[in-house]
Amino acid sequence: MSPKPIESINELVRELLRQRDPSAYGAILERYEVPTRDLEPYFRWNSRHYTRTCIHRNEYFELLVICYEPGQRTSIHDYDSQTAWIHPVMGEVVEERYAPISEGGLRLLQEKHLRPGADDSLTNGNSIHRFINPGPGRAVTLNLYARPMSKWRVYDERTGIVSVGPAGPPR
Amino acid sequence: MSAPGGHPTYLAGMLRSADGLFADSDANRVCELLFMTAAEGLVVVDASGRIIMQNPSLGRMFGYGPEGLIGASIEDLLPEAMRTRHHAHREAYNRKPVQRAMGRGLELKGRRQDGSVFPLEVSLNHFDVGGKRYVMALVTDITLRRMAEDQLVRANQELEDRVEQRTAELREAEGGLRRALDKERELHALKSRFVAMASHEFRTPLSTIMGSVDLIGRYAGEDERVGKHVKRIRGKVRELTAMLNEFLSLERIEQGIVQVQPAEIDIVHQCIEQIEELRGLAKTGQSIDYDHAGDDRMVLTDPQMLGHIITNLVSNAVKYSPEHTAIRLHSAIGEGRLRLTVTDHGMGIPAEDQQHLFDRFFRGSNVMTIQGTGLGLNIVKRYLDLMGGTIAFTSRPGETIFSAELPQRIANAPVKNPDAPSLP
Repeated sequence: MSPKPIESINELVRELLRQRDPSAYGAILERYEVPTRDLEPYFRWNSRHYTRTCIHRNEYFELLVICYEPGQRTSIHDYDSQTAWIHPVMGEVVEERYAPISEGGLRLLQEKHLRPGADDSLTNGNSIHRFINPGPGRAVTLNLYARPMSKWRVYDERTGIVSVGPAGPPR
Repeated sequence: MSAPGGHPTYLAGMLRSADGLFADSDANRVCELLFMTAAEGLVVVDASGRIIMQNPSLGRMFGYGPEGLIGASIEDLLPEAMRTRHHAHREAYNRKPVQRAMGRGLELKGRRQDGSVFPLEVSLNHFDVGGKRYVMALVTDITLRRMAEDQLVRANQELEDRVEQRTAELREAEGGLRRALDKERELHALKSRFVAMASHEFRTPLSTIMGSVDLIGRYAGEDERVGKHVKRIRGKVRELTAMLNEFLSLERIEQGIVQVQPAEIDIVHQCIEQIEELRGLAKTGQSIDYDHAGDDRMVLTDPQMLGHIITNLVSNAVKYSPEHTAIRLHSAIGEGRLRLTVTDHGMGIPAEDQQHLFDRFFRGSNVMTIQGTGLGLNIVKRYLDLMGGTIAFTSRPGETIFSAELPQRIANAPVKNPDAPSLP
């Protein structure tokens, strides 16, 4: 018998609140079948940068909606959460994963395209990465972090110096 | 003493010395001395107005000799214009004589032998001797007193004139100031309208430029040369937009139309969003790290104002620090206060500039070659003032730390949550 699907955000939050073991969060998200309209109240758009809107947070997890206008991207970053699950809700996002190289700079390890409806949830833990909305439409992801992040570290893709800021020209 | 018909000896009986009555001869002597040496003029006239006694002072006063007036009419001592009327007054006095000052409420004048006229005061008394009525007058020349009074009146008048003149000058000056103030207000309003209009009108084409540059960047694909120029244009457009935004913000604050619009926000995500936006400004190798202390992350504040504060402090840190240096944004919540700290390892703020740092249009003496309006920190401070916050800094070459502190929850603020509806 297949597990019961989760069909509303309230239900998802209740399920997550019941669970104290982060390793079980993945299984909860596999049951995710929430219609996009249920998330729309959390959508925020900003022409200057992507937006991060918290749905719920406690000491074990943090559930966010992240909205990207076409062409918007995160910095190359990592954070202090142990695990993150990224679920595409609308549009398409590309995750680029990087690794520092010994002579300085960052090396692109892999690219993964995430689209709703595909086998597309992503677990990226504390890897160095960034997300890009390649366009042409808007994109939204639902991100679950365990534990909630409190540190944000940005990498400079030009110099590869760890903990560095600016993104380069559009790719 | 000169008197027709001898001395009025009965006076002597009325005079007493300290230890008893004067003898008649001594009393007469005293009376004579009194009469002869009095500084005031003394004159006795009979019922017809003929002078029968005078003392030397009276003679001197009117320019006659010591006895030059004996036998003359008392009217001879008056200006011609007053003689007829005086005659009538004298007749009336004789009918009903009383001891009194003469001419109360009138300005009495005497006429000297040379025809000159002078002011005087007269006290009248009468007595009867041998069945005849006599009138005695004590006459005082008040020329000097009147001159002094005139002088006082003139001085008073001058003073009043001067006060009036000064008042008029002050009124004129006040009017001038009011006109200048009105003009200044008018100019200020004109400037405000111009700045608001210009800033607003400039932002629209800048936004179009930015949109087109984004599209060019996208169409250019992997072409690094185009990408480099696109990035440069984008950076400059951002700078211009930021400057215009500062002018507009200041204008709105000064017009008093800025109000705190509180909303419940997660400070961690607010800070990450700000940093993600600002990373495009960072120089090569500049790091912008963010961390938050504590589990409490929710604040009730104005997100726009807070965003402006973070953006300004971090972008200043980026601007005034060299490449390959670290910038750190730190947030913490405790005891009902939100604390934000921005640390950089840049050039620092010269000690002599530090006291002016939050003044409008002030720019540090070591940053004149770096673009800026000198408004950013002034606006930051004003926003913090509006939200009940404070800002402080420490700076030396190689390290500057700005610390902003504000209430975690703005008191008595209506809550507006732009994000989440209620959850189970």
